[in-house]
Parts: sequence; structure tokens; C-alpha cells
Amino acid sequence: MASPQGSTQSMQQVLCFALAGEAYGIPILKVREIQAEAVITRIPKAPPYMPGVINLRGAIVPILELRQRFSLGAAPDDTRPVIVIVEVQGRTLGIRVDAVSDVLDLDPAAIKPAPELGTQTQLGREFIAGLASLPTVSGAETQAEGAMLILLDLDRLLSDGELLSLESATA
Amino acid sequence: MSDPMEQFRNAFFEEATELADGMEATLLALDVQAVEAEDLHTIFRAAHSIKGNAGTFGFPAIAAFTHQVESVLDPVRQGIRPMTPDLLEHLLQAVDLIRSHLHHARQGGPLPPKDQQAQELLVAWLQTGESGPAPHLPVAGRAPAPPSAPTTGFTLRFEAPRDAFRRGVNLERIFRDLGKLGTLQAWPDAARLPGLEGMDPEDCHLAWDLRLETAASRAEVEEVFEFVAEGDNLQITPLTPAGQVPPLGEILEGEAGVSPADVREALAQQKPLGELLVEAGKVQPEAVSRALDQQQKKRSQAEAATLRVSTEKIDRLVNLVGELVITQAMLAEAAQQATSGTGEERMASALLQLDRQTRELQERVMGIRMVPVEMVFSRFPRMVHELGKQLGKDLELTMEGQATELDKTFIEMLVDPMTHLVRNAVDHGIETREERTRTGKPTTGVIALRAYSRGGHIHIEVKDDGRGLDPERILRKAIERGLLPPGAHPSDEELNLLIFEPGFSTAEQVSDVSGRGVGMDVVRQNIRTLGGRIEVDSRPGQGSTIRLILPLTLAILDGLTVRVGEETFVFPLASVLESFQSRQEDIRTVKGDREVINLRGEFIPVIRLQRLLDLDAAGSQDSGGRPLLVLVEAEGRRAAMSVDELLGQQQVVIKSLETHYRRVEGISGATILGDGRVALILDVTGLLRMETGAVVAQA
Repeated sequence: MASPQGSTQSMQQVLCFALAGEAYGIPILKVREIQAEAVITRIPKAPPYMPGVINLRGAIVPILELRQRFSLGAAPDDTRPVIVIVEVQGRTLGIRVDAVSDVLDLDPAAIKPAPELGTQTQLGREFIAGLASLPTVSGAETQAEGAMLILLDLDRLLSDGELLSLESATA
Repeated sequence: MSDPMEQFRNAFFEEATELADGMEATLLALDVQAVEAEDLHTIFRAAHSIKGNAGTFGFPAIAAFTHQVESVLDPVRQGIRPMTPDLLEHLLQAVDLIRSHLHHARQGGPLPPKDQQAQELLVAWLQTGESGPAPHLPVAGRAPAPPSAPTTGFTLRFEAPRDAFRRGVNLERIFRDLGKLGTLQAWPDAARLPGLEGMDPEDCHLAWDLRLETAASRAEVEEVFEFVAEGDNLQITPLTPAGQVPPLGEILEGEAGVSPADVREALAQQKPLGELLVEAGKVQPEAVSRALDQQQKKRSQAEAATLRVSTEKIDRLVNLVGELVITQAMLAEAAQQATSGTGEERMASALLQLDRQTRELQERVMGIRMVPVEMVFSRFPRMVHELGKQLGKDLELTMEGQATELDKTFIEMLVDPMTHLVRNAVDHGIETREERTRTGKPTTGVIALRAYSRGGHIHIEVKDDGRGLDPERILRKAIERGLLPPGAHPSDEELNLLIFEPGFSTAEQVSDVSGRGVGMDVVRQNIRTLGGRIEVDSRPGQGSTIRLILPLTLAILDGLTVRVGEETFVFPLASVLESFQSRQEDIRTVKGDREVINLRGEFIPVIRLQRLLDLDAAGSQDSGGRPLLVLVEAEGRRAAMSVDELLGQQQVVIKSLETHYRRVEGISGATILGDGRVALILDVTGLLRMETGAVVAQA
């Protein structure tokens, strides 16, 4: 689980990425690599947030379109999306995001549970492992009013989506 | 594999499983009337090897059990004890128990109580040769063991009857009598005492946990309780026999005087991890059951993940690698003299050699994955034997072509379908003895398994000489189930293939063995996953043959690459009949939107792939009303699929979509094209199904 475990781990490293102007983070240990944009082969009748697969050095890896998953609309034309390859529950998956910013050390104590959000948004509370306020880094991108980082719970995000539900349908 | 011992253990499990398989095969081949001494020696040696290795690798329970089996076999092979059909059956059960032992030991767990019980009964039978209670049916609760079963003692739980005081039963006498039988330990249990207010002093609420070390039989012990045992107030459990590892609780009771009630209570507090987590509210119950499923899957995968390869194949590889090293040295030398004329010549010849060697290496490495189909066939003699007994049919099983080699993945995926097919053949195909006599057939029904390779495919047949499929009944059933419209006139082939539809069973009665219409569906599913197809030949009254046709290997496929919209797809060449540019006037619409094409007098449905797969319209130019069509055939049905461009014919390496994603309807896999892009491989059968599904949905 991505939820931080008290004081057992002094610092937790997270990979931060941007999506529609918001900052998100996922535990670095789940990240395998970061890929530049690749050609996505569309899968017939796949949902828009999981449009297809790419060739990752010979392995066929599905892509999760995070903007679509969270109903954030299409990316503006000037973004050059990158694909974060993660490994969750033994499967490899590419997550398409707007940009990757950096890797941060987070004090687990600084991670707060997310408040209840309206059911209007696709990104329900269940996908959020926690919220953390970023230490204001001097020199880095201008982060106004001590920016906030949304930590995602990858296991939840994936078990909710395509992979599991459809696998059980064919099993 | 960091633990070296682990490797040896795995080797032990594999070898022991193989030995057990060998024991079973030899037992099944035994003719009880004329036993070959050599066969008995083979069985004995197998048991002996398992025992020895089990002892060495630290599985005393397996060693103890195989020791008992071995000591039964010894007098048999010396001709002191005759081989009887009964003994044969029991020995077969012993093999099953050895397998169960191995299976559980491999997973690090003890033998489950059910098997434990079966084992005790079986061992007792084997040692006496007397027909005790049927050993393969362990009766729940207090199944009395045969009197001469060797015992080291019992643990007992005795709850005194409530009216014991009123009836004037002398409870003390029971303990004295027990004490005479051996060493007795007793722990009174007052937990059943009610509170003071609700207590009737004349009621007896006492209970005892007892541990009796004795050589006396269970019957003798039961006799002591003759006047007080009623219903289920007395439970007798034998202590673990000598030579086996008793549970911790049992040792503590014997050595440290811990009361059985305490042990029970402690055990009851032990809960599976998942349950604890659920209670603590850390995880949802569904997540736990999912995780358990996953664990099970991983476990079975891990078991199947090793492959035994003949030394011969390895030796050839080693030789080849040796040659490669020489070639590499030649190349290095040639490179140094590259400028000179001789260097160039040498370089050319070395490269030629390298080319040949790499190709051979590739073939041989692929060959490692090939295993004889015997691996699947070998389980059927036993199965047919058991089924025949169960259903009261005389059966003969013939097998042919066991040496035919198949990809290892196929072997695993074939086990279930083949099992279903053989069961079906025995249950529905072969008639009863009476029916066979009436129709003038020999009473013994014949099931024939055959494997052979033909034209780049492996054919596997399951044939029976039974009653065959009844086309009329299938037609009736199909119309009933709505699989065919009323009044349809399908060809025999199409009709026969209907038996593979989900939920389709023409059996009047659902039997224990088959008839639920579940199995055949699995057959088709698995075969299709393997990229194969099924053919059915059936003659009413004479029997039926079901033929599984599989590609030689899963790894490579001859494909026709096409462009549809902006995407590239691959048709398996095996299902493509032809491709052609159609003329608009040949295409007619039926019911307004379904299209058919008249091809040399035959009307064939036209499937617009773009529409069927919901692809973007972009990139698909209007071919001037002359669509490019690919004529395909699957499961006896034909269709013309419209594509935008034919790109070429090539061999593609098949990659699974399911490794990281999931199954996709109409797609059997993916491949990587020369430019590094992914192309999807079309599943023609699935596409045809989608199309008919779409028609039904619209209707």
C-alpha cells in the first residue's frame, strides 16, 4: 500500500508530475522508468482513459490516460506528454502525464489524509493516498502559496479501473 | 533461488512426482492374473527411491508413508502375498496420497486432515489386507479404524451425560479402567458449569480431556465408555503414529501437561492473516479474496515454471555454443588481417558459418520448449479406468503418437480440454453394456487418442466408437436455446460445432461426470486461445471423433498485415482464404444494412472491420465503392472483411496482450512491427462471433 507507515520510514521518496496545473506524486519505488512520448496503438472498444498499448522494449504495455481518467479534458497543444512506467501488482503500465517535475523526499508526518471531496469529480477520495504541502523550494518552478502535492494510491487507481474488472469478466 | 537447498528440494519434488507417475502407469498396466515380476520390482524401486529422497530432504511424513507402502510391496514382489484387484486399487490410492503429500509439502503445509484420515485407513488396509471400511471414503467423525491398526494411543474428549449423577453412573470407574489400558493423563474441564443461580446440583456438567498412551485398539477404548457414550459426547482421535511428526499441541500435552482445552482455545485464536486484517479494518474482504486467488495463481505458476529437458538436447546446445566460440575466434583473427585479401575471404566464410550457427541455435532453443504430447496423454489411462468403474462401462483406451512434440505452453493448456473430451466420450459417447449388445457392438467401448503433425499443424484426436452425435437433437436444442433461428438448416459441420457453445448439453441427464454443458465451452475457449481450431466428425451409431488442430508453436505466426483506418492489423494466414478487390455491384444489402457479396455464386456476409472495431474514420479513403476484401474462414463459417490496404505477408512474433493488459474481444494478441510499433493480431473466430452478436443485439 502506498499509505505511509508512521515513523518506520524516515523519509518517503515520491516522483512528482504535473497534470492540468496540479501537482501529483507517486511513490518512487513503484516507478520503473520514464519514457518520452511513444506511438500508441489503439485497442478497439477500449475506454478513452485506457486507449491502447505501446511497445516497451518488446513488452506490450497498456497506457493509462490520466487526464481522461480524472476528466480533466484534453491537454493543451503545447504540452509534450511523457509516460511514467510503473509496476503495480505484477503488471507493467504506462501512465501518461503532462510533465514530470522532480523527485522529492517527503516527511511521512507531513502527509495528511484528503478531505471528503464531492462525488462530482472523477478523482474520488479513494484514489488519493494523502495530501502534502510542498516545502517551498527556492529556485525551482514558482510554487505559489506553499503548493500542495496530491499523492495517488496506484493500487486503488488500477484495481478500480479496467484491468481487474475486465479480467474477472473473462476468467 | 538463493537457497541452494531450495534447488535440491525442487529437484526432489520433480523427481518424486515423476516416480509416482511411473508407479501409477506400471500399476495400471499390470494384469492381475499374470503379474510380471519386473513390474513389481519397478513399483517397489519407485517407492523406495521416494522414501530415501524424502528422508534425505527432510520430509519425514512422506518417508514414513512411503515406507509403509514399500513394506506392503516387499512381500508382494517376493511372491509371498498375491496381487489382487483390491490390492491394486489400494496401491493406486497410495500413489494419489504420495502425490498429495508431495503437493502439500512443496507448498510448505501439512497433509490436510481428509488425506491424513484416508492415509490411516489405507495403511491399515494395506497391512492387513482385510476389507475394512472403504479407505477412499473417510467417514466424518468417529470412523472406527480396523481393530489391528497400530496405535500409539489416543486423545479423548469426554463430556459426561447431564443425568450421569441421577443415573448413578460411576464416572470414577471409567478413569480406573482407562488407566489399566496404558498411561493416562486427564484434564478436567469445568467450562461447561453454569452460573450458581442457574445450577441444578443434580446435573452433571463435567467434561474431561484425556490423553491415553496405549497399545489397545480403539474398540477397547470405546468399550470403557459403553454406558456413558451417547450421541457425540465422546471424541476419540488417534495420536500421531510413530515415525511421523506430531503437531506441537500434541507434544505439549504429552510433555508439558498443557491441557487440550487450552490448546484448542489457542488454536481457535489463531486466525488467517486476511481475517485479522479485515477485522482491523485495514482491508476490504473482497481484496483479501482477490489476493488469495492471486496467490493461488502464482503458486501454480511457480510449480509449472520449471522444465525438464533431455540431456541430449542440452548436449547439442553445448556443442553448438562451442562451435560459436570457434567462429568468434575466426572472426577476430580475420578482422586483424582485414586489409589483406585473405582476411576478407576468411571474414566472409566465418560470417557464413556464424549465420548458419545462429539459425541452428535459434531452432534448438525453440526446441527446448517442445515436449512430447505423452505428458498430456499419460493421465488418461488412469482416468478412463476410474470412469469405467464409476459408470459401469467396459472401456479400452488406445493411444498413438505420444512422441509428437508440442510447445510446453500447449501441454498445460491442453490438459483441461482433453480431460473434458475424454470424459464426454466415456459418459455420452460410449453406450451402456446393454445398449452395445443390443446394437451388435462388442461390449468393450474403445476410446482412441491420437496425435500427429500434418501440414505445419499438430492434430490431436479423441475418438470413440459410441453412439455418435444426434444431429436432430442438437438442432432441436439449438433452436430451443435460441442459438439458431427456427427453421434453420445448418450444415452438419456447423451443427456439430454447436456442442461447444456455452451451456449447450444434449445429455438428458446431468451426471456426476458430465452433462452440464460447461466443459465443452472450456475446450473451445482454450483451443482458441492457443490459436487452434476444432473439427468434429460424427456418424450416428458409429461414434465420433473430435479433432483439435493446433499451430506448431505459439511463438510465431504467418500473418497477413493490413491497414484499417490508421491502424495496422494482422490476420493469421491460416484463416485467410483469399483477398480481392470487389466490384460494387457484387455487394448487396440485406434488410437494409447487412451486406453480402456474391462470390462465384455463393453469398458471403461482408464485415466492415472499421465499423465492427469502432475505429476512427480518419485515414480510410473511399475506395471508389470498390472495397478491398479479405475472405476468411473459421469454424466452418466464411466472411469477407473489408480493409483499407494490404501491406504484406510476413512472419510475426506473437506477444500476449494479457501479460500487462487483458483479453480483448476479437483480438488474439499483438506483435511488434519492423518500425517498432505494436500491431494487433485479429482473432477471426472472435470477430465472426462479435458480428453475429451485433446482429442479435440489433434484432
